[in-house]
Amino acid sequence: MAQKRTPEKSEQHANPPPTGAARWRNGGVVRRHTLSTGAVVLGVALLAGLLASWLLESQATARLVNRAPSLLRLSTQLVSRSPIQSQVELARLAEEFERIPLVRGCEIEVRSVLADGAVAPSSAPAMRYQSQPAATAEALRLSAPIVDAAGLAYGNMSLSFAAPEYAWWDARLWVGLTMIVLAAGVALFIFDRRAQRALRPLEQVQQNLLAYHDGVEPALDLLAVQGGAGVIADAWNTFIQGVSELRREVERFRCRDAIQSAHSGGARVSGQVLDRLPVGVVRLDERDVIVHANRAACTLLALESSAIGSPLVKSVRETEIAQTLISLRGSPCGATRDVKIKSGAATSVVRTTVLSGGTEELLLMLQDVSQTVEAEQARDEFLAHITHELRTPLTNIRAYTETLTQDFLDDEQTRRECYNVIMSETRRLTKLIEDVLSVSQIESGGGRLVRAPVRVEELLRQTMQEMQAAADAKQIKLGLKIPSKVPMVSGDKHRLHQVWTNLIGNAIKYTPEGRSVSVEVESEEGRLRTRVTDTGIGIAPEHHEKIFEKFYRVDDPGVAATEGTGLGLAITREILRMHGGSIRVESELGKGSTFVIDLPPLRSIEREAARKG
Amino acid sequence: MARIVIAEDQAHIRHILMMWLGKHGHEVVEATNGRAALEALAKAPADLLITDVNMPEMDGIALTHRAFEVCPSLRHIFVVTSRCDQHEIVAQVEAHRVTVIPKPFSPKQLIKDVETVCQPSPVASIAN
Repeated sequence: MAQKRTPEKSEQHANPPPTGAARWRNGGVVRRHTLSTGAVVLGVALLAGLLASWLLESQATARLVNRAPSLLRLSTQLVSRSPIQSQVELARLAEEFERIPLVRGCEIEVRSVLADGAVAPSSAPAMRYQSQPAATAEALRLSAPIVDAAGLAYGNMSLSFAAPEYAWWDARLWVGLTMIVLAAGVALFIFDRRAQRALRPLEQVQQNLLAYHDGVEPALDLLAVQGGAGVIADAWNTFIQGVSELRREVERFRCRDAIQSAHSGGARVSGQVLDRLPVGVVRLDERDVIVHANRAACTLLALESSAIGSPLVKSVRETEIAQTLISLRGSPCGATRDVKIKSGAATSVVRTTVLSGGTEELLLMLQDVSQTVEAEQARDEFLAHITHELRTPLTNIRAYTETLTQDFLDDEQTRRECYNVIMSETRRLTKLIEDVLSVSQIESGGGRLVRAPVRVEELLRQTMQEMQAAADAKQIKLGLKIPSKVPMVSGDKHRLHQVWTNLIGNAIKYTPEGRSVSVEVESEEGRLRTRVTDTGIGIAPEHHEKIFEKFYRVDDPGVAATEGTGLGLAITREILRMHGGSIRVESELGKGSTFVIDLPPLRSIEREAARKG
Repeated sequence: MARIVIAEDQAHIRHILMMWLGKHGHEVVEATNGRAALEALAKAPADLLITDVNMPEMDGIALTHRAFEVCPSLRHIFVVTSRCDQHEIVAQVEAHRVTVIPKPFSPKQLIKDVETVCQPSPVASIAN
C-alpha cells in the first residue's frame, strides 16, 4: 500500500484523508496497476475456460465417433438376443437405449419373434419405434441391421448421438479457472508486494503532487520524499530541489519586476500626493544625492526643480544647512534638529525630523516651525516676566512681615511703615494677577466684549473721580475738557473703564508731584478722540511702540522707581483694538506724554435704538 | 562689623536690607544700580556686596564681574534675584566667591549668611 504521510505533515498541508471515489482516484499506482492486471488475468482466465470447454467438446466428439459403432453393434446384438414380440416390448427396449449417455435418439424397426423363437416371416408387418425429435442438435447417426442367430437380418436399428456440450460454468471448468485465478492472485500478490516496496517513493511523489495540484502544498521543498527511499527518491529530491531553486529565482525576478513597475507607476501618484503635503519631504540616496524633494521641501530649502538628481550640498545655498541635514544619517527615526534658514531679511526655523536614517536612504521631513518657536519663546518670556514680577512684591511682603516679628523693631513708626509696604505690595500683587488674567482672557479670545451704547462723558467723569485720591496724594491737578455733545460709543463699559483707569493711572504715576494731568475729549472726523496728557518724565521716541508690548518697561531710573506690571498698556491697546479703536503716544523725553485714543462712535441706527431704550 | 555695599533698584528691598544689616551692626552703603555700586566699592574698601541682577545702567552680573577687581578687599558677593534662570547666573559668576539667592528671600537667613562670610578665617587667626 502507499506509504502514509506523517500526521504532522498532513496537518501542515491540511490534506484530508481520501474516501470512496477519491480514495480510488488518489489510490496508489501499484494498487491501480494491481487491480487492472487482476481484471486482465480474469479475462484471460475466462478465455482459457472457453478454450478448454471447446477442447473438451472436441475430444468428447472424437471419442463418440470412436465408440458409437461398437455401441451400435452391442445394441443390435442386445436386440437380437431379446425376442421382441410386441410393440410395447420394442418401445421399452428402445427407451433403455435412449438412456445411454450421449444417445439422442433411437429408431428400431424389427419383425416380431415368434413363440418358438423364430422370426416372423418377412411378409409379416414390422414393428417400428422412433424417438421423439430432440431439441439438441444431432451430431452422429449410425444404422446397423439386426440379425438373428442364423445371420438373417430381420430388422434395422439407428442410433443418433448428440455432441457432448461443456458449458463454461461447468464444474470442471470452474476448478480449472479457480486454479488459474488463484495462481494469478498469488502471483499478483507477490508482484504487488515487491512492486510496492520498489515503487513506494513514487507513491509518495504521487501523493505530494496531488496535494500540490490541489494547492495544498505551496512550497516545493515540502514535496521532497522523506526517509531515504532509494535511488528514485534521491533523483526526485534532486529534481525538486532544482525546481524549487528555479522557482525561487523566478519569484525573485517577478518581485523585482513588480516593485519596479509599481515604483514607476506609483511614483507619479505618490509624487502628486507628496507635493500637496504642507510639510517638506526629502529623500537622499547613499551618496547624499536628492532622489525626491516635494514642493514644500523645495520652498523651504530654496531648491530648484533641477536639484533632483544632484547632491544636496550643491543644491542648497548654505552648505552648513546641507551638512546639518546629512549629519542626521544614522540617527534614529523621529530624531529632530532645528535649522535656521535665511530668506532675505527673514529667518525661518525649519524642524527636520528623521523618517528613515539608514545608510542606503535618508528620508527627512521638514516643517517650518518659525511661528511655533516664536510662540514658545513668547510663552517662555511671558513666564519669566510673570515669575519676576510676582517675586518682587512677594519678596517685599516676606521681608517686611519677617521684620515685624523681630525684637529689634521697637519703633512704632517703622512698624507702621512695614505694614504699609506689606499692604501696598499685596495690592500690587493683586493688580498683577488681575492684569495677567486680563491678558490671558484677551489672548485666548475669552475676553469677549459685552457691547452696549456707552456714554463716554459719564464713564470718564466716574473714572476721574476714582483717580482723584491718587492725584491728590501727589498734589496733581486733574483736568477734564469735554464738549457739550459727545457721541456715544458701542462698547464694553467695564473694559473701557479699564482703559481710562490704566491711562489716567499711568499719567498720575509718572508725573512728579504738584504738576497736572488732563483729559480732553473731542469728536473728530466721525471718531471719538480722547487725549490723556501728563507732565511727567516723557518717553523717548524709540520706546513709543515698545511700551505697548507685554512686560516692556523703559530702562529708566524714574520708571524703575515706579510700581508697574508692564501689562497695562498692552491690555489697553488690545481692548481698544477689540472695539475697533486705536491708541498712540506723542511724547518727548522730559516733556510729558500724551496718549491719544480713537474710538468709532455709535452708528445712527444703534444710537436711535439706544435713545428709545 | 563689616562694610557692605547694597546694589538694588527696588527701594523697599534696599530699605529693609539696610535696616536689618544696620541693626546687626554693619556699615551699609546703598546704590540704586550697578554703576553707583561700583563707584562706592572703588571709593572705599568693602567686605561684602549684596546686589540685585536686573538694574538700570549696569546689571548685577556686570557688577559682579568687576567688583573683585575694583575692590580687592571684597570677600564675597550675594546676588539676590527674582529671575528664573538662576543656574545661568551661577554659570556666569565665580561660584566659589559668589552666592546666588533667589527672591523671595528671608532677611534673617541672609544676615546669618553674611555673618558666616564675615567671620575671620581660622588661618587668619593663627597668622595673627
